Amino acid sequence: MRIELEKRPQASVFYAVLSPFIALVLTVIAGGIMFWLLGKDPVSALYSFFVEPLLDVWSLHEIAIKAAPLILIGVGLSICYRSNNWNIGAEGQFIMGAIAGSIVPVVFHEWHSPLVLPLMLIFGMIGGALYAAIPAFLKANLNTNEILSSLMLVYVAQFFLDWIVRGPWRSPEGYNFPVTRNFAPEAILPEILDSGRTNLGFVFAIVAAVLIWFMMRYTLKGFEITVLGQSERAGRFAGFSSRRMIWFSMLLSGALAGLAGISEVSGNINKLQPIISPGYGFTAIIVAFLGRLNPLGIIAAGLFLALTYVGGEAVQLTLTVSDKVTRVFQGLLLFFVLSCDTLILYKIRLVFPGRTAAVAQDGLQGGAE
Amino acid sequence: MQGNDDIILSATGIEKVFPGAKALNNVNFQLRRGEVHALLGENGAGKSTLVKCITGAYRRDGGKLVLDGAEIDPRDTFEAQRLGIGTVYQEVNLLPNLTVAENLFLGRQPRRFGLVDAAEMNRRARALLSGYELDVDVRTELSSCSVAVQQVVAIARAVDLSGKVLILDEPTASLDAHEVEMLFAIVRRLKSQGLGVIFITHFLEQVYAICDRITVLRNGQLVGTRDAAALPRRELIAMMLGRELGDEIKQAGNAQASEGAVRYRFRGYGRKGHIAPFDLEVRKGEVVGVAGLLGSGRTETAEILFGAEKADSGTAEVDGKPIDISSPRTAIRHRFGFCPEDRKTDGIIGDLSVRENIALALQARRGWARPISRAEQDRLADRYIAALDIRTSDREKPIRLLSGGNQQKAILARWLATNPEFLILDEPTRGIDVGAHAEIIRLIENLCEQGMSLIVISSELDELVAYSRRVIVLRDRAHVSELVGEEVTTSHIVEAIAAADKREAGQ
Repeated sequence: MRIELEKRPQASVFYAVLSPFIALVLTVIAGGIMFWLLGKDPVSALYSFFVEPLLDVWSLHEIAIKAAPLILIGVGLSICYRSNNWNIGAEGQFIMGAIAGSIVPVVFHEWHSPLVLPLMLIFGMIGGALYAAIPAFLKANLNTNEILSSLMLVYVAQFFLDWIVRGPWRSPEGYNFPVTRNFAPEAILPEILDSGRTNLGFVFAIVAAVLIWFMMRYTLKGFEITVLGQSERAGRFAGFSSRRMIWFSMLLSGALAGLAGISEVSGNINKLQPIISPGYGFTAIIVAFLGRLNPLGIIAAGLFLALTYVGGEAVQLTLTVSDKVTRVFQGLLLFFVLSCDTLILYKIRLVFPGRTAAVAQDGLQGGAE
Repeated sequence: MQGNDDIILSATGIEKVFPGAKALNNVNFQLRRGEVHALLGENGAGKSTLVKCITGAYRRDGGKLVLDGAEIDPRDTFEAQRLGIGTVYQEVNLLPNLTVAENLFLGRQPRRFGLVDAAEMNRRARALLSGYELDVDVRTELSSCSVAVQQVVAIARAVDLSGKVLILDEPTASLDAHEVEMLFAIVRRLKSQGLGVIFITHFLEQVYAICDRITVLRNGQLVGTRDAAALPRRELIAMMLGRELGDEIKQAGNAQASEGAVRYRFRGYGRKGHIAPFDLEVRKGEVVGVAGLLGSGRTETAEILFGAEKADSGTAEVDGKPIDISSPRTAIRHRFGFCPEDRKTDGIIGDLSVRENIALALQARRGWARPISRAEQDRLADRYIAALDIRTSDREKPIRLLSGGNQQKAILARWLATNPEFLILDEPTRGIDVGAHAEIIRLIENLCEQGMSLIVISSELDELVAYSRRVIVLRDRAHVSELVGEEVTTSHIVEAIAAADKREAGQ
C-alpha cells in the first residue's frame, strides 16, 4: 500500500476550518506519547498541562497575561504574511519596543507625571516600528530577503538588551544584578480586574485584533493587502504599490510587536532584564498560522498557546519535567498545523498494489471544472 | 493502406462527468502508428479532459481504452507512462535545478555500489540525446537551457520511458519560430520511428505544418476526425466553432486612422539589458502593432512604456508635455493601461471575483481613502460583462474559474473602466479560442474608432495586419524597422524580421 497526495481542483473550505483542530488533536496525542516515553502517566500529565490551568482564577489571569503579547504580535504578523512579507523578526521588534519604551521610566526616572505611561507606549511602538524598518528598507530598496534580515536582527536586539542592562542602564540599587531600576508606579500598566494580575495589555491585544479584522474586512487597505499578497505583479500592474505595502506591513507589525514589548515590561516585569520574552515573537508565528491569519482566529490561537506556556510551568512543578516541554508542544503544534494544511489543497489516496481500485479517503470532494 | 493493426491507441465511448457538466460525452478517438494527430477545439471543448482520461490523470466514468491491442486502465500518469503513453506539457515538468542527464534518468539512475554512477548516466544521456540533434552538455543545469531545449529534454525522457504514444500538450506556446521548426523536426523523426503523436495546440498553421489527421471536439462531443490534407482551414474553423466565422482575416487598409497630431512621443526611450533606446510616436485613434520573435524585446517594450520597468534613457511626452512614467502608478495617472501577456501571474487575481477584478485598477487609482461603493462596483461589473460578453454565471464567481478568453476580457474591462487614453495590449489573443479571438479584434477596432491610442503586441501576424496602421518590427531587443500603411502585410513583416536576421548574420 502506498499513500498518494492528489491535488484538489479547488481548495477545500471544510478542511480550511477543520485543519487547526485536527492539528490540535494530533499534538495532544503526540504529547501524550512523549510523556509516556518520559515515564509519566500520559493522562494525568495532559490533564495538568491542558486542563488544570483552566480551573483556577489565578492561572486564568496568567493565561491572559501571556496571551496578550502573542495576540498583539500575531495580528501584526498576519498582515505581513497576507501581503507576502515574511517578517520573522517580531522577537527583535518586541525587545526594541521594550527598550525604547523604557527610556522614559529608566533615564528620566525622576520625572513623575500621568504622561509617563502614554509616552512609554508610544515610544514602544516607534521603537518596534523603527527596528522593523531596517528589513523593510533593505527589501524595498535592495531586494534583500526579509526572512533572513529580520531573523538575524533578533540576535542583535537580544545582545543589545543584554549589554544595556549590564552597562549604561544597570540599576545603582540592584546589587550589581543585570537589571534596570524598577519602574515607578505611574509607569506600570494598571490591572483591569480586581481578581488578579491581568493588565491593560490584554485590552490592547483584543482592540488591536478587532481593529485589524475590521480593516481587512471592510476597508480598501484590506483589499490592497489581499490583492498584493495573492499576486504581487498583477497588483502592481493594476496600480497598487508593492513597495508601499512592504513598508506598511512591516511598520505595522513592528509597531504592534513593540507595543507588546513595552506592555510586557511595564505590566508584567516592571523593569528591564537580560531576558524579557520566553520567545513570544517566535511563538506568535505559530499563533498567526494557527489562527488562519484571521485576527479573530488569532485571539483564540493566542489564548491556546498561552495555555501551553502556563501548562508547561505547571507540569514542570508537578511532574518535574523540563520546561522545554512547552517548546516541544509548540513545535509539534506548528508542525501539525502546516501538515494538516496540506489537506486543504490535496486529498489523500491510499493506493493498494495490484488491481484493487483506489480508495478515495475523502468522500467530500468531487472534481469540478 | 491502413488496416486495423495500425491503430496503436483507441479510445471508445469515453465519458467524463463533472458536477454540473458533462465534460466528455461518448467520445471516440483513434491514433495510428506513425502519425501526428491534432486534437483541436475551443477552450472548454474537452481536449485536456480527454487527454487526462487517457493518461489516467482523471478517472473516466465510462468507455474503453485499448493500447497496442490490449485493454488498459491506467490509474495515474505513472502507470500510463509504464504502459507506453508519455505526456509533455506546455510548462516543462522537470526539475530545473538538476542537470540534463539527471532529469533524463530521474528515478532510474544507473547505480554502482549503491551510488549513482554519474559517468555512466552522462554517457547514456548523451547517447539518448544524440538522436535529437541537440547541442547541449548533459551536465549543465536544466534551468540554464532555453525553454525549447527543456522541451526537447522532456520529450526525450517521455519517449524513452514510454515509447508508444507521445502526447504534446501545447508544446509550442512559448517557443519562437526557429524553435518550433526544431521541435517539428524531432516530432517528424519520432513519427518515422512509428510513434503515435497526439498534438494539442492553438496555432492552426502548425496543425497544417505537421499533422496527418485532425480530430475536433466541441462541448465534450466528437465533431469528427479528418485527414488534414483534405480539410481546408475555413472548414476546420467551422468545425471548431460550429458556425462560419464572420470574416476570418480582414485585409489591411485601415489607413482611415488619421493623419492627426502625434499624442504620445517617446524619444531615445530604453533600458540597458532590456530594450535598446527607441523612438516611438502614437497618434490619437491609432493602432501601432509590434511584431518580432519571442525574446526580441516585445514584452520589454510594453513594460517600459507602462513603467513596470524604469527607463534609464530617453524622454516621454503627452501632447508635447514631458511626463514621468517611473512606475505603473504614475503611468495609470496619465491614463495608460496595460494588459500583460502572462494573464495568470500578471493579470488576474485568481481568488477574487470577476467584479473585484474589474474594479481593481479604477480602485487603485482612486486611492484607498475613496472606495468605490458596492452598488457602483456592481454596475461597473454588469456593464462590462454585458458589453464585452464575458461569459460567467455571475459577477461574484472567482475569476480563475473562467476560461482564458473570458479572463482576458475581464482584464480588458478592468482597464476600460479607468477610461484609458493609451492602452498597451501584450498578446491579447494568446491561448484563447478562435471565437474569442475575433471578438477581441473587433473590440480593438472599436476602441481605436473611439479615439483611443493602442499599442498591440502579437505573434499572430494576420491579426496585426488586420488592425494596425503601422507595425514596428523588433529583433534582438531593438526596434529595427517600421512599416506604414500599405506596407503592412504579413509577408512584409516576415521579410522585415528575416532582413534583420540576415544583417545580423552578415556581421
